[in-house]
Amino acid sequence: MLDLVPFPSLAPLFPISQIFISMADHFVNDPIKVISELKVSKLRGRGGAGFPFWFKLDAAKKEQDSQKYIVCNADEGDPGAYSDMYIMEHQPHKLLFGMYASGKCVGADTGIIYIRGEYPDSIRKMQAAIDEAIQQNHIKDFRFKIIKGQGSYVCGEETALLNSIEGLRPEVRVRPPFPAQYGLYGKPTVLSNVETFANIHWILSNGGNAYAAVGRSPSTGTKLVSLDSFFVRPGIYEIEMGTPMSQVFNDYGKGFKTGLKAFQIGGPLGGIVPIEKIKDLTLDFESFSKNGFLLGHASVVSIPTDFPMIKYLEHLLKFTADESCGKCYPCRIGSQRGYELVFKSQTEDYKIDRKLFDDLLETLELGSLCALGGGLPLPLKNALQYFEEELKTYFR
Amino acid sequence: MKAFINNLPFDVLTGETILEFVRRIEGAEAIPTMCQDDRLENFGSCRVCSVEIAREKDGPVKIVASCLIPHCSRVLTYTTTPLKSKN
Repeated sequence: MLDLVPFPSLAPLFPISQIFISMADHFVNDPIKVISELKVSKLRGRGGAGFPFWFKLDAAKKEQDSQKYIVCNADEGDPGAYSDMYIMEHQPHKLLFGMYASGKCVGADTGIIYIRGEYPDSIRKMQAAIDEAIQQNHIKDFRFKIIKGQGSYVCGEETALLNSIEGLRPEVRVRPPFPAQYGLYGKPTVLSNVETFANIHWILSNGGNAYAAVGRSPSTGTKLVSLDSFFVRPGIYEIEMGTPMSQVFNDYGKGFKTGLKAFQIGGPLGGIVPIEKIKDLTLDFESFSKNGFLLGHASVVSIPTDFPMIKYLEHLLKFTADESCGKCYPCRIGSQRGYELVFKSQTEDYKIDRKLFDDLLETLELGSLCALGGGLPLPLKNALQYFEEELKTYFR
Repeated sequence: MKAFINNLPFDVLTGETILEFVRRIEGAEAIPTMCQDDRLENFGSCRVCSVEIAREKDGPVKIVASCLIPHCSRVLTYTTTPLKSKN
């Protein structure tokens, strides 16, 4: 779908004219067709939540507002995930086309790409691609703007990202209203991940049905998977949805360099999957959630056998405490208190009250405003469930 | 316009939040709050005023901060469930 080239690649970029000319004219003036093709394709947001993409377009299109925006979330903060960087640096025109087609479909005239500041190369290459597209006259009545991210992990949360673009403190907004109704500067906004937009070109050129035939419905298409350096062959792979995870690890990653006991799949809020559960999983949203994990952004971070699980939990809690926007109490205070408990259990003669810890997790999960605090309990619960034996010395 | 508190129907005023609605019917003590103050705009940071809401009876419930959610008709608000009392 994305014509994956080896990473890192010195191959020339995919010719821009092929991306734009062949299709833009067919589709840009036919929003109904774009939405129906995307609906048939069952394309889902690739940022982690897996929300049907056509629904966002449809909702924004229905809004009666002369000003609308397309925003691309390229604030790829999940440790171990490099798929957005790959697309921006190697196939930027696919992203531009996806945003352009979506913009024309809903009636937006501005596309904003929010790229994290730690990706200076991506910013340069995207800007070069935009300049090239404008120079060759492929983009009509539409402008692109790159915003260099200057915030924390929580800027990747869609409403915090909108605040960050507006120059406000990146705090999460309350939903409803959803961005499709009240987004950037209060205008209807379609917001999605880099990989989602990059898929649109293939769908429109090959048809929604062809896309839906790939993968395992309702998770259609392919997913970029990032394998970390504990694999014999680390890198980014575009893999069909529904592929068994054991095949992903053995055929693509070629096995492991050292002994591993678990993986955290889907970023710091994804589940911790013990190595023996890998055989039960396939690469799609449903299989992961059914087994109590999260596909998320499909980044794989390996946890070596000799790495203490309690250290990993400490890191997760510290990470959330550092990156929390601080708006809601459960996330701001809960993650800090959780970190203190776990830290104290290792350094002092102190055992964590399991009930207290469970209550903390419940409050985080149910009370938090956004997915940062709400998602943190998942990996912690996974660890407590699958590594009970190892962790029990720290609990009472 | 009618909305429900613990399955009992009451009239809703336009522009009311769930918090205002429940407090008007059941008194100021019905939902505890911490960061809310009538002189300030509601911010929703403490989550103490969280309630469970549902679109239909026995339907899926969602936990929301009642101070921020504008009330719409036919929303069922639950203030007395075990989960709520626990928190």
